[in-house]
Amino acid sequence: MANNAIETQQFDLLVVGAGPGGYVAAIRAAQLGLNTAIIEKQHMGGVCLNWGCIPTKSLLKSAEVYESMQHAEDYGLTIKGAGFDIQKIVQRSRNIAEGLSGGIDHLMKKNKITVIDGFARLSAPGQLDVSVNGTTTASVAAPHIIFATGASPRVIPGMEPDGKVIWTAKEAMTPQTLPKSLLVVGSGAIGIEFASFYRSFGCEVTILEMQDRILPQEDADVSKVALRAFKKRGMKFFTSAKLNELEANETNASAKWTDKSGKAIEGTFDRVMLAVGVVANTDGLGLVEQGVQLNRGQVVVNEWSETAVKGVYAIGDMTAPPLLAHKASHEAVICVEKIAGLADLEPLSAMSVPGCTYSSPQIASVGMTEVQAQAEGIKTRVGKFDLSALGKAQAMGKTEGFVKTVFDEETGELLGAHMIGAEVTELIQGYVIAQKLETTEDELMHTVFAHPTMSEAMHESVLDAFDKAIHS
Amino acid sequence: MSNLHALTVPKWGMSMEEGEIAEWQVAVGDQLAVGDAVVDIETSKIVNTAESTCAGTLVRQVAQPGEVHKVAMLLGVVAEGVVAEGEITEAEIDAFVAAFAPDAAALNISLVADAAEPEKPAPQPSYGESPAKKATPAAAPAAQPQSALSQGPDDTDVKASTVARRIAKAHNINLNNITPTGRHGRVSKQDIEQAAGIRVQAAPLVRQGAGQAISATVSPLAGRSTVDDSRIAATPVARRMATKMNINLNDVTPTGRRNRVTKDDVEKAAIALTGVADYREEKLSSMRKTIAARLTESKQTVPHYRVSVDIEIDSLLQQRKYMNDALGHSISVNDFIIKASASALHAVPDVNVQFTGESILKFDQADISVAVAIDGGLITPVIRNAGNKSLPEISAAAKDLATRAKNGQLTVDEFQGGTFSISNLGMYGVDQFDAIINLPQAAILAVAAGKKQSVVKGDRIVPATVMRVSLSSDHRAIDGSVAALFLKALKGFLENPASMLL
Repeated sequence: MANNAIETQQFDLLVVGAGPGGYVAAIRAAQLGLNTAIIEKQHMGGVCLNWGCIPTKSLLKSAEVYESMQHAEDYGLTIKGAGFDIQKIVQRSRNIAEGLSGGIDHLMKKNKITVIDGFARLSAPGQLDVSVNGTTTASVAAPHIIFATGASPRVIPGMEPDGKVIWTAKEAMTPQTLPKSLLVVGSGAIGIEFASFYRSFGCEVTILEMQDRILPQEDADVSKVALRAFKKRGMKFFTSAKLNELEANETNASAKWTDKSGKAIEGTFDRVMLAVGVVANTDGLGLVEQGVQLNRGQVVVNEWSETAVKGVYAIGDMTAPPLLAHKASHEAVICVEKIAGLADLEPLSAMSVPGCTYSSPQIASVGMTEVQAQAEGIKTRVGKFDLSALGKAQAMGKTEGFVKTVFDEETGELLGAHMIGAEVTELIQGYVIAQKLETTEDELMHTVFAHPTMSEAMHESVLDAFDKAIHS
Repeated sequence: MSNLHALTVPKWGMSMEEGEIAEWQVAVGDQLAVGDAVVDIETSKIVNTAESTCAGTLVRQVAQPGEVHKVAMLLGVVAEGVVAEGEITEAEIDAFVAAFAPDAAALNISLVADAAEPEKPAPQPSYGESPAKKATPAAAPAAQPQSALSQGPDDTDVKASTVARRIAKAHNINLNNITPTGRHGRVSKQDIEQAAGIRVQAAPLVRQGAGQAISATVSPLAGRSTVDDSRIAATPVARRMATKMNINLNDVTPTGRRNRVTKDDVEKAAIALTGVADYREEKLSSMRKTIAARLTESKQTVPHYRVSVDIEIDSLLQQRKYMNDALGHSISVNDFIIKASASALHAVPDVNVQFTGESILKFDQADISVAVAIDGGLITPVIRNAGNKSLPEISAAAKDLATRAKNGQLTVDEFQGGTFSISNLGMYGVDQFDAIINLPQAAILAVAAGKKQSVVKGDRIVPATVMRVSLSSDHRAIDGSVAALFLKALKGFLENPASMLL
């Protein structure tokens, strides 16, 4: 089919990619009365919903329940013949993902958003060609085009995943059988979550981290306690490690690396999972050709997600970090509202985006770490409260972890909060709100926290920052 | 103590009253012989080097660079002979400095007159104090806080808050001189305010039940609200910051949700209220001060009026070309104008005058001051008796004076005492301009560029190179008709250069 045979459809706004950035952008645009189309090459909901956040949370819930069963005696319970079926665990996660993906389809219909299947390419400013398997199937145009194509796992040259024994996250969340041993390369949130999941079902897990501590994005205290907790669960760690060789065999993979003292180590693992970051999906989109600027592979945008080309926007993982679903969704709303000319908009600040890791124990944080605040030259007050001193934590049998708060001594501003322990991913939001409202320690101290809850640790941490903690 | 000698500010030229210390050429501990260069001092228009009047060892530099000292005041202290470190105690030197009295009579300076002017503070009160008080360390030559804070190496690398840096810049404070107490060793706004005494203290916080009076903020930063701001909606962080920075929330533009003042808003306001636009402050040089004072006096006290005329210089250009190309001279158009002005002053001597208030001084000789732009200002070296000089002589003198003016090497007598001034901006292509009279002279000629124009001659339009000149005259001494006669004569000489030979 020749290009000129296709009639160009005109829209007010086009969205490329239907992940948590793209589909939210489309819905918000439709709500604001813009005639909107969304182009998706694969699955509605994107990586997050299909191959990321949601299915992994399902897997980790199975792991958590199984772990609880194994510790049943601690709670005075007797369970006989506790076991698991990895295929059923995986199937549960797939069902949930499919259900939610269907939900997105429904939301598109409900908001009268045109969904176009295929791969979009910016052929000219304001113009997209859509193709399926290389054949042009549609041509659409709009004065505003938002790209939200996300990112893909980074591949180390010479160590390409084969999908069988060398995995990326996608294969790691759909195992046919449970490997006996797993090497996880990279100890960011993704690597740690999978390590935690596989360890829960008895897999021998080894983790390699290039930097000198695990979870290098988190506060150093969190890294320290996390390392202790994971080691206690039987995971092996090599920090400041360098992976030199990775070879896929028939049923396993052999790896060679050097540890922090420079000693060469080698091992054979049933499976290897690569979690060494992601790269923005910009190939073939026609962005660079039309003048969009990239910086280290990521699309360069201003505070309103505008690229260097007028009418072309980029949001989410294809832009600068933090690379998180909720950051993409929030940018989507701001970007669309700015396009629609709404007043009183505020750009998103990276410092107010919380990050959560759903391992066991969980990790959650927002804002600056203690070291970052010091590097900014800010005189800080730091509070820390161990969960072991908390009644609710003891009742739950989850006393591992702490809540740490970092305040600006001069202004009382909550600069950052860092937590590790049970349920902390649900707790962090309290601090995120406090930070957004620019509360000082004063307001937080005078806020009543319900007893007995894990959130009391949040109160005590603030009190501790100003030497007023009650229970420590 | 008898072996201590004073180095004082010398008097160069009759009009010199004070000088700004530019740079010391010798350090404490250096050996000096009589006539050795000691310190550079900048006077109204030149920098000169003060020479040692005694032999010995320099034990103290009293006058610091940047300070202005009157003639005969103490520059430094020299001890006789070779003095080892510590041989003469600081206390001894302090005492000598305190006991120093300027030798006014020897320099014929009316220090008394200064002291007699009630509105002026006595110039150097501490120097005249009785020796009984001399031992206090305060008698040491502490510079004024403002100038002391201004000095120091480049401070761009000193850690300081944005607001602090703005205030420092606005008040010419070098951040190296501020003790930082802010976040993580940063210089804070408060540090600067304290060090420079810019604000006496922050307004005390209102405390419930406290009976104390709340004093108003003492601040030179005008335009700030003092109205109660407790009802202004602000985030807690913003309110606390505003309190700490002594910013009234009425002065902050809110941009937060529901019109709340946010942290960012307070930070922006802090910059706006303290700095406004970014600028650099440059201390006036002695030359700039002189230019400012003299031109203000002239413009305000002299009834200026201007008369202008167009002069065709084609003939002049032709002659000049021959002189330069064929005869090997390098005579400029301006040299012709100097010569023609002198000739015109001889022809119309009533312009070669000065108004004194009591009388009018009439000069026989035309001493032409020629304005020369130099780094940081301008100066008017004088070509003496230009009427009796040949063009090549004028040309040579003008070049020499201009070169030395640009290098700051003129002596006082070379740029003072002319009877008429010429300011030529022709090289910048200007069509016309007026100049301010260079007191105590009574007239100045402003010369614009010579440009090809169409000129009506008889009934024909012909091309001609036309140069407009404008004569600013002091009407107290020179009437309009006299000025017109002068311009007529000048025009005649310039349009017919050979007539200058007569």
